[in-house]
Amino acid sequence: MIEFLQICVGGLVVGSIYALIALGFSLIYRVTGAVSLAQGGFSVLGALIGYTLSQTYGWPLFLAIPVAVLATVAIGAGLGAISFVPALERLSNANVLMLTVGLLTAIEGLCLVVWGSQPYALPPFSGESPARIGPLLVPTQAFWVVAAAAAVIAGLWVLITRTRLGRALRACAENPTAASLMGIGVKRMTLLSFGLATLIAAIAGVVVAPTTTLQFDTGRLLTISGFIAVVIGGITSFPGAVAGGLLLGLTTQLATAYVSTLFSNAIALLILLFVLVWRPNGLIQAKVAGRADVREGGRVHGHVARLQPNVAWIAVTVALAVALAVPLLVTSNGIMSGITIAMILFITLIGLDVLMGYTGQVSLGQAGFMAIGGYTSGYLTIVHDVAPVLSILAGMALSLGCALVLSMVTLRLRGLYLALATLAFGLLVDSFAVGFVDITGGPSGMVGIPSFSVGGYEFASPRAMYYLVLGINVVLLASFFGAMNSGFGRALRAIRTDQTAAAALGINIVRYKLVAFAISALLASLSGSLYAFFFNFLSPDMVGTNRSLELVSMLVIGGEGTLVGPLFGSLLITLLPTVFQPFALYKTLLSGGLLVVCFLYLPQGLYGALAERLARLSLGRPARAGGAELIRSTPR
Amino acid sequence: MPLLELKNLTVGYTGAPILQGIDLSLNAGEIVTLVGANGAGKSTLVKAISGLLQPYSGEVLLDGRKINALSPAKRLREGIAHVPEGRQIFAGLTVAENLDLGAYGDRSDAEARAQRVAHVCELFPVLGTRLGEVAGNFSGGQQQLLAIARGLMSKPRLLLLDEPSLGVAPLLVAEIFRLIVRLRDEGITILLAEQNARQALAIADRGYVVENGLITLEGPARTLLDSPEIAERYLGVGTAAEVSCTESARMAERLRACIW
Repeated sequence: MIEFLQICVGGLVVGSIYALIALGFSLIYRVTGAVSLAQGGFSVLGALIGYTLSQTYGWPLFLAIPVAVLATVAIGAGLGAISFVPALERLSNANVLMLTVGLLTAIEGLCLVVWGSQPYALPPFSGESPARIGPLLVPTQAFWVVAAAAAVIAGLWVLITRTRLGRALRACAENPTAASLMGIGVKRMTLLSFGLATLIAAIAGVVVAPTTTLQFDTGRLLTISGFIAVVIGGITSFPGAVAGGLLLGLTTQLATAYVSTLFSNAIALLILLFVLVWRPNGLIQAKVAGRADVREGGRVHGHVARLQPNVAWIAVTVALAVALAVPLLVTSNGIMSGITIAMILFITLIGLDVLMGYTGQVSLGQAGFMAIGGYTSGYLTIVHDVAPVLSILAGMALSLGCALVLSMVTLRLRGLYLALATLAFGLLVDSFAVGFVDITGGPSGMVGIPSFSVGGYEFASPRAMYYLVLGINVVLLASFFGAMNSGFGRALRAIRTDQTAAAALGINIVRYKLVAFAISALLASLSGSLYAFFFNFLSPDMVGTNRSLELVSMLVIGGEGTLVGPLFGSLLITLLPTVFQPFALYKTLLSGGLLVVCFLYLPQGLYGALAERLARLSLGRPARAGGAELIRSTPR
Repeated sequence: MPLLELKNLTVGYTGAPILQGIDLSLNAGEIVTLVGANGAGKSTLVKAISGLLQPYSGEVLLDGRKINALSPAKRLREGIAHVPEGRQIFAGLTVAENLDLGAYGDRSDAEARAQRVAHVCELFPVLGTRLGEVAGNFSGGQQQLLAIARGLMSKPRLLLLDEPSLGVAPLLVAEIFRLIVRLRDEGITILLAEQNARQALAIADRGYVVENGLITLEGPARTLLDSPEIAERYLGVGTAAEVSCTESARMAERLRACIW
């Protein structure tokens, strides 16, 4: 009993932190209709600044902590003003979500550059010795955490429901156009909500820092937990966010104590998937649903510039020749490996492009299918001595099965909830990969995976593997180029542009989405298997959520909806740290920053820009439809 | 001097201009109606006046002073209130909160605002009894009343009403139009953009006809009501209908002649 209560206290503390992060999500969502995943990053940033001020410069905590929080808010508001606020005017909500993934990555990168990758902990605010309540021993920091959460919740409640400013914030959430007619500065309110959310996140960060250790990428975990909490509770409701946070905290702590450390996350995620199916709007719902202007629709693309057929053939021939010559030109084994890895990831990206770029379905869990493929192949070849080709097919079959089960959830969801469900899937696979130690080797990974071989020929060297993957890619590209220019591709794009209109035209939305999802899962699985064969090793973090988010960055930076574009993103992000060693430290910051910049200023990615340039050269005049146009249709 | 004047105004939504070379003036204490078909540019014109759209060229003058550069918030403070098409109320907020947001730019104390609410509720008794209710659950007509009431909260000199009869039951439309006259009598200048041309012209002092982004006709409301072009195009009666009737009558006559 005492043990149970002790665990509940722990759950309450963790839950309070989740609740705070969730409140930030809910606040931004209620004002702007979009979600910012940068929350957790700001928590860590606040805690790390606090550490430097108090431990390195020796400031007393009562000074260091508030200054750290304020500094974080200043940084957050600055970043929000140059990324989140302008993005809201230009991007669909799903893409704003992806942009904030970039923001989160950039913040993590910043922390990595400044503080390195070692963990930090702040001293407890009021001493190390725990307080004794009856038979319970409670660390004093727990009181700080719970009190901070209570204060923030109360403050936010008063602000939103009892003040004119709060009313104005809610007005922006309800109807931005009307709000601006009332003389409310909608942009200012957006920035205010972003700043307030940053403040809440920073407070959460500094109060939690003494109870655990934080490092540059802990923010990701906080963000994900807060996101899960807010969806369980209901994103349109502050009480919902708080309840979701506490529920999640208690569940994970109890599961850790009584079931298994390794599966506590899996349990939380299963609850989430269950909530998504059972009550997709969360446990506590708003009284009146629906904003006047919810932009669930995809970003309106200008056409990617198309090359004249003769130019296109020249481009394809040159590209193929270059691709074939690469192994002869590149002498460094490191770079050759990097290129091969980029090409392997490109297989996943082709599938992701079909899913996201063409069909408009966000997936934040694509690496989950890579994991299924990789681990299946590894397990079958190591333990059962199955031929690699067969093991790949087995992995693809298993991935397909998982995709079909998952699609029972995802087919009902759009935008935000779809993003979350796929994220949850990736995390679920991740926690199984960590949890099933006997099969996967657990956190330390699966060793001794053989190289890929067919009929006695072993693709052991990076060069051999390169040609194999190149062949696969060429075949895939050729077939998907054909498919995307057929009725199938047009149907997918119709779904992306306007699902309702597509249905009205008689397009079977369920079937097409399912097929797109299945394609992406199959390709990810194939690529995961090859990845495992190439490294002769696979660990959960190689195919975890970080990889999923990185894949999305690659897709956007390269150019969505272009099939070949993602290769540029893949090469760039994979090779930069290999080619320029000093860049390794900056890789995270750079890829996050690039993602944000591409979303804002290069909506067609590197490939789109390149294609436009080429088309302009070949025609001697601007390409059709003006390339980089970024129009959100304005109602007249 | 007119209260508001548009001089050679060209405006659009970041693309090709929707309205070109618009000249228009509103005198204090008038009801002026903009008549025109769906898509003619009436709403665009109203948005250019309230500041939601920045003109490409030309001038917007208030009291003879150029206000092109003012934001919607500043224009609201100068006394221009815009009741947008499709009501655009804050559906999740209560009636009282909606009204209070109408006076958002108003820095006066809570008591003055409460008086304002009381005054507006006198004009709209139905709102007064339901101040605490969530606005999104109201009928279309009641939401329209709320939108107008919200516009009045800022004590405007000039009220821009964009399609107030859209999606409102006919009985309530008549009430809204009576109310507009009453507001004019209280000294508020009114610009009324309406597809419902007959009723709008009936209460207006003057009218402008907007067609394909141009003002094609203007004059006293009475004259416009009586003019054959207007009657034909916007009032659903007139010579065109008669012509086709006589035409078909003649055809029928010939047909009959053939048969017999």
